[in-house]
Amino acid sequence: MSVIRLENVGFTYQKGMPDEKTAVSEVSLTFKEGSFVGVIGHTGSGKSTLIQMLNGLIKPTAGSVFIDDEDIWSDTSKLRDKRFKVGLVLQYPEYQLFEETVKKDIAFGPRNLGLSEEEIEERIIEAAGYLHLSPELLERSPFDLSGGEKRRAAIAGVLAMRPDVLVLDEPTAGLDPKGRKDILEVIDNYHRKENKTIILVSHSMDDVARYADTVLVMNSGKVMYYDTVEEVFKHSSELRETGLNIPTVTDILLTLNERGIGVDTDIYTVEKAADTITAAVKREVHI
Amino acid sequence: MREYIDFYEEGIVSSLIKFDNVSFSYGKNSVLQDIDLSVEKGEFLAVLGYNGSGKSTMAKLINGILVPSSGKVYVDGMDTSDEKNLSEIRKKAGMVFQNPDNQIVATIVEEDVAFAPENLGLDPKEIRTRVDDAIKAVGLEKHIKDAPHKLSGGQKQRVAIAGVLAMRPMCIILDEPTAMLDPKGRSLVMNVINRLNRENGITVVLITHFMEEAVLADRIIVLANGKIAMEGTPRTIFSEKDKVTSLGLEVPPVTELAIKLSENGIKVSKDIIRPEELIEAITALKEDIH
Amino acid sequence: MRDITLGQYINGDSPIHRLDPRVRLILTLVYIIILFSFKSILQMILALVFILIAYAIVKIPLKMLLKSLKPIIPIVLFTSILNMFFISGDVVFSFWKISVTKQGLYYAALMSLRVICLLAGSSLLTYTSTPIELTGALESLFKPLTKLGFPVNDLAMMMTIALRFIPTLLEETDKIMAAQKSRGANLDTGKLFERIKALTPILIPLFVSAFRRADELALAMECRCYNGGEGRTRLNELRLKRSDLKATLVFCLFCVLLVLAGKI
Repeated sequence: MSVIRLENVGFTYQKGMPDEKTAVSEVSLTFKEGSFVGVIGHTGSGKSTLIQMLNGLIKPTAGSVFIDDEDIWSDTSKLRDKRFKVGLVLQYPEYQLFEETVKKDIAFGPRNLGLSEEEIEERIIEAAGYLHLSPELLERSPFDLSGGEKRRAAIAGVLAMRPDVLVLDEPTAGLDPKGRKDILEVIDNYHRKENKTIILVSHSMDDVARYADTVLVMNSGKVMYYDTVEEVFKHSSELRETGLNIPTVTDILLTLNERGIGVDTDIYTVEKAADTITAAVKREVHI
Repeated sequence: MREYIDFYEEGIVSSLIKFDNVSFSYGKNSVLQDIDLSVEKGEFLAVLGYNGSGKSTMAKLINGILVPSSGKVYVDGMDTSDEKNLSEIRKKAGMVFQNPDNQIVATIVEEDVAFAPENLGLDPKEIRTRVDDAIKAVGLEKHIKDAPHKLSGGQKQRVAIAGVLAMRPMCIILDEPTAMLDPKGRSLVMNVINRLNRENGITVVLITHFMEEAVLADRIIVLANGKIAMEGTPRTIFSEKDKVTSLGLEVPPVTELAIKLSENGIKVSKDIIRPEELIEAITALKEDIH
Repeated sequence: MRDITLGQYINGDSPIHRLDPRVRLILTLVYIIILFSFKSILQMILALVFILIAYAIVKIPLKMLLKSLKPIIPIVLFTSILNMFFISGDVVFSFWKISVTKQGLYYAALMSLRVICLLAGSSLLTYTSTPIELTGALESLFKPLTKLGFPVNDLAMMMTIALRFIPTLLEETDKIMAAQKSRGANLDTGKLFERIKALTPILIPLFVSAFRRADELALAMECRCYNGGEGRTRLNELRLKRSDLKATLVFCLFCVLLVLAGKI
């Protein structure tokens, strides 16, 4: 199990050039073991840069990234080993598929880890199991799969490396509702069974609210909130003001509240929203 | 036997787009079967369905990129299987695709928007007017000289829409135009599409995976296994939650909330599809009491 | 890397930026021809003064010009030294077995000035013209060749698309490299053969993606009524303006000056 800790991390593109642009600044936080963190923020809020710093793809221009209390940039020769502890699934990961068969493609990561053939085989079976990839499908060319299948095959390729921390950048982008739900269920199931840390970047506050236990809200390269889902949703009106897509039901509750109907607004699920509205309406009836 | 086209020419029917018993297959793979569909002038039609249900094929059949294996597709009375009509059909029914990067041709916004009118061999003055109008319609006046790769996804997709508008089409077919965009880009693009339909009277066929977008349409069809599985207004479609879910789709969260509320004994309609409606309904309940 | 511009376009609104790109292109070519056809040092100095005035008009700082000259300094020095030592004539001074002649010095100075002017002149073109302007200029200039069956329009379209997609594909390469590195791909170490092999996971997805993009682009172009270059018109037709004629005349004046300078 690994803990990632960021200390005063910042990143500036084109540093020192006239067109320098700060993507991330002064981020200090710890991703707790076994937590499921949802990361939200606008495009350009720095979240994509931030997650690429977690496995050393991008070197911060300020501050340090620690994995298990070791600065990952202190010894660059060990960087690759540390990278293996953090599995990163980038946006549209299906564009990384390249092998002749899905199976070989999933094996790419484990092989780079230097595992034995038996171990690799075992990893493939395990990853394929999580992502519902049938044995028949494993033998097919990754380029012949449907969009959703490609996406799952690509995620399997990262999962097979058994990272302690799994980071996913918008893993549901471009999929249909069922495809979206399937992927999220897979991640949730993996999290519950393996109890590994999950960091999920998403544009959908609904998804984050449903699956994550912790929320990281990024705004203009800085941490706006980093707390449990419940605590963060206590700031639902601030979130809305920042222009973030808060869950539809939360949005409705906020508006009802503004209209003088006494509903709770720190709610993000349909069930609880129905309860608070029901309670409020019934209260009004009894007055 | 008298065909659709005869009725069209006599003015008996006037659908802008007509699928007349259309089937389509790639080799042995049947993608669409016996589709009958009319889209009227000025209508906003949303097409839903899981990946692989035949939605994109349907879009490509409309402007003659694909030709039906059997049956006929007509656009403004023109048969898409007749090669002679293709240029005219493509002018009338413009297509916008999912990935904005792969449909922008030029390295400057205005040059890209000018691409279609240039192809049509129009006079430079006329092209200028069309380009300016199209860019204004999508609200990108400030970016007219920018390089497309420096724009955001939502802006790029609006460039693509402007590029189609410059043909002055009667109809725009959009194949998952917001799938690759962030929520902000998505809502900007949807605003443009909605406005083009309501204000400029452009017929819209929108293929989408987002239920919030489908709610804006006049009519929804749901494709499944190459057939039209459901058809109706957004309200009638989403009131059938079980059926919608079984077709791999979902109902908008507000509809789910309305259903829960009515199960809880609150008097709100189960076929609410927009947040405003629910808010109004609940506020009205309160006012009734006072 | 993202902003690939041939040379380095500097956004500006100088009179030279506003010239018809065809005029810019042709004048630059003529300038280069002049550099090679005139042989007096006075002419070269005039040519240098002329190009420096042009830089002043565009308001490009001299520092930038010097910076772009930096990489050619060794070449200039090398040719100068060769010229100095190996051209026979009136000896100015000599040491050991080498003697430097007047003629040698003269040629060294001439060559150096010529190379500097050559680079300054061609850089000015790329500083003031976007690749797309140059494509348009070439398309327009070669238009008469269309009648001979030369596919000028198609070539210009290919050029445009290339310019449009280079930044996109570079971005894509970055993304794929990041993805494969995340899966432990080792791109930085190993023997040459291993390194080439290590590129497979990058090159295959890149090619697949390029072909997919090409397919989609072709489809989108077809939907926008593209049927090859024939019958196409252009939004921004290149038309000579009064200022273009003025610039050309100023340039001619400069040429006359040069010829005169050669007679002194």
